[in-house]
Amino acid sequence: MPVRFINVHPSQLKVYLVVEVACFITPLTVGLILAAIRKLWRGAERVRLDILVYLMLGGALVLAAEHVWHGEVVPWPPFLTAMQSPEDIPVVINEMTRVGGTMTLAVTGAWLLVLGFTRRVQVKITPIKQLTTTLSPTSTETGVK
Amino acid sequence: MWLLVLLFFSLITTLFYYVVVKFNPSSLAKLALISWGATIMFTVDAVFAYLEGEEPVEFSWNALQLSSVLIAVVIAIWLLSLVLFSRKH
Repeated sequence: MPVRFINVHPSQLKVYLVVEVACFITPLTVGLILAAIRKLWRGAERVRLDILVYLMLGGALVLAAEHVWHGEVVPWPPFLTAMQSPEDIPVVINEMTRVGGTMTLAVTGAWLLVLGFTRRVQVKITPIKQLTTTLSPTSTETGVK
Repeated sequence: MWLLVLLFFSLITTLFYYVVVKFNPSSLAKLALISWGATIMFTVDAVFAYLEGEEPVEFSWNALQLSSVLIAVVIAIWLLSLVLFSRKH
């Protein structure tokens, strides 16, 4: 089989890399915002915002650790190896919204499921209140004529 | 591989949360929540990897090492949250 050599200048080459390096940023940011809301808003306990904060922040930090392991996150600016040149920024932003947004939505969905399940269980467990009357005893019952 | 290991760890911690009563249940719930959050995110990551033609689950010595590191990270985040919580109160 004859070997063909293609003469292409390096500037004409376009390499499309599927990079998954910034997906943890979206849930991490959302988790930090939720943690701040949880501290400021008094109604946070009623909707069990602590569950969502633990799911979001915990998951995002573990995901960040995986990216550090793969060398996609570095301790020096710009911190993401995919952001070495300004041309890569749209790719990173696209990934943050696409993959990171889906992760955030999936975790929020899991939190809503937990809330729904907990409320259903609480309704089943809550005992029926004993009926009490506020009527005063009648004259016949007390024996007063 | 780390997705499967995290899923297994999440199931074990959830089971412990429901079965083990002697230990403080709220702290075990935190561990379960952190591991479930990570499992959900890695599942989404694996789905996107599969859709883009990559192998969603990788079995290798490196993957096994990363799995153990991620479990250690989950436990470290949990312990850190426990320490911070006990300091506040």
